[in-house]
Amino acid sequence: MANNPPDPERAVVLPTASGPDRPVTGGADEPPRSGLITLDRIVGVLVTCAGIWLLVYGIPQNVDHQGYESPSPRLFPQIGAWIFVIFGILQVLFVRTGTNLPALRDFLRFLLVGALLLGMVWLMETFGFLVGAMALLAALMFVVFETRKLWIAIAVFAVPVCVWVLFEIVLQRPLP
Amino acid sequence: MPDLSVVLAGFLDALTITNFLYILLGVTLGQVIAAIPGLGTVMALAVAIPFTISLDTLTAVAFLISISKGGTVGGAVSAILLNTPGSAEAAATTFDGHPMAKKGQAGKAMKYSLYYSIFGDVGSDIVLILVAAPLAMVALKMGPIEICALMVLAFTVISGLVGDSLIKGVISVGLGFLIGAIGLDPGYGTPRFTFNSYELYDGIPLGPLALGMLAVSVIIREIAQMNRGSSGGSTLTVLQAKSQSVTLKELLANRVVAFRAFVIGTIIGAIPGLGSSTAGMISYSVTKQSAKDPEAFGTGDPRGIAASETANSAVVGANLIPLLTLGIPGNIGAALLVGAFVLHGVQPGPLLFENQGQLVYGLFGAMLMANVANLGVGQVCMRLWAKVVTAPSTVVYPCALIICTTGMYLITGSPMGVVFMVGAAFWGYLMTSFGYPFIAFIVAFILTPQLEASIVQAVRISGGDWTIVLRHPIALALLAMSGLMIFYLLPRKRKAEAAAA
Repeated sequence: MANNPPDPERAVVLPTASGPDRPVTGGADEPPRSGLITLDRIVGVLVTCAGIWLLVYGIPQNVDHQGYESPSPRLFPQIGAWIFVIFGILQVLFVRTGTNLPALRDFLRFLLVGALLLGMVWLMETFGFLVGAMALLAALMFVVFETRKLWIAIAVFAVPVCVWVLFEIVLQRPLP
Repeated sequence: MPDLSVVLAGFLDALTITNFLYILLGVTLGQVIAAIPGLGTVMALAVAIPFTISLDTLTAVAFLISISKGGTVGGAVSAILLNTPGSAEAAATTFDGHPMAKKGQAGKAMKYSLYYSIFGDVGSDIVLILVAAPLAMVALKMGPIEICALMVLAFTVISGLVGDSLIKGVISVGLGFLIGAIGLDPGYGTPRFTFNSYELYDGIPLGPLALGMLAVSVIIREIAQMNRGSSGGSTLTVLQAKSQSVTLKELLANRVVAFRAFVIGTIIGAIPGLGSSTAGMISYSVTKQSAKDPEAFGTGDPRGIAASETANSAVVGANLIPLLTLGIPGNIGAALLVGAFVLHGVQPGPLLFENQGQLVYGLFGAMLMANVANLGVGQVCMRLWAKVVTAPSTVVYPCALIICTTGMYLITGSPMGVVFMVGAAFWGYLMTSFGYPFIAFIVAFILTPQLEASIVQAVRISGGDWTIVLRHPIALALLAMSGLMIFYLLPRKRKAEAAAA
């Protein structure tokens, strides 16, 4: 915990999870800055390619255009695609970097939690809300390395039951 | 002028026991959730939205806005006690709040933060109430061409102000256009990117997208970053002082600082793209720079707390000015509120005052009640929240996740909502990782249907003649302002990029 207050004029990144500016990582396996600039350029190329693909194939294939419409239903997707093309090129040419890649471990753990959520929905649909929620929370307790028995019991048993009571009985919204 | 009977009826609608209880619950939830470091007001809103589905519209929106208001108070608790802001907006409060706590004046610092927060909140609510209706009337007089130009200005400001890079901001807006265009086009009902799926005919639903990108991606990211033994406990040791109360004289001693912070917060709140954290920081910097003894700041000076807390709270009411009058959400919290409005069949924008004026004035009444509740709950419970800040994140984040998932399942009535939400969370994670501001994307996504409808109307009025813009001076002025904003923001963005690099 820092004892001296940071200079507010220099404090740009806030130490909280609620804002979009929070740094995503800072692991030992974070690539060097020059690598990130190269990566930013590669992403710029990909954005440009996506724009070109949309203009040439994606939009004509997925948005019908009879010719009499004014403005065309393709107008907005085309504006988006042109933004991709023009600003993708500008990103390649000018951007320094705002990229802050997560460590591979964090990325894989993110995917794991996402998969667990989808698994919970399947369990909910198949075996009911309580089974799905308890299974998810039990799995998440492993993921977050929680070992204190009381907190595990609260999270795995008490919270799903409270949520069930709140939605099902208090708010009268039936859960599976 | 708005019809007085509508105003009165609206205020009377707000004055029910049910509304007051939900407002009380809202500010309590807002304070307690925002007090926990890392959660913040946005998380509190995200967790609460699913619970509003069975409420009537006014109660639901009043409940959510109460959470926002409670969040500005609660965020200061951990900023003062732990030197870690519970929510981003309280970041500047740490500079003087925590040194005060270390001097044994934690209770006093929290009271300062509470009173100045309430002052900022009430002041900006009054500005909102006075300004919103006339502004909405002006907005109603604007034709589709002016609305198009206004949207262009909003996109320019948001792309320029959010994130470090203007280029990435514009790319995010472009992506918002593309995703916002999915579904039937407003002119001829032509399906776009629907892949023969009827579920996509109405476009991508806002709720799962907003909740996934704004809240779930942050929760999963926090979980993903946890390490073995990261649960930890509180490291707080606050010395006891003889008196922790704040007198009226002590509060009034900082009246100039508080008033200036209120003005800064209100102006920043009314500008789309900026938020409470920016207001707090700017207000703190301005106060420090204009003080005769700037060296006193950072050592536990109440002026620092007054500057930060008044400004960040003044943003809450002011943020609703662009949202209610123009339908433009200014920040993440406002974007979530749009999701809640839409969930209850209400479309924010100038027509809201004309079609549902009673609801709007009911909301204003509820906001004023929320300020009273905020003060009462803060007075009684601040000491209790000091204990709550020690709740382990290893339990809080998974529980927040289960509530979001269950709520989304109920809101959409099918597993597809959760699938969309998880997909949006992953997309938000990627965007943040690569430095693309997802708030610009969300705002573009929300505004695209409105902008597109305006363009369709404008083209039909003009018969396809684009030079019609030249005969609309307000639209021309707005477009000129967009151009000026680009010239103003570009050099600053380049500086920010250079600093980031």
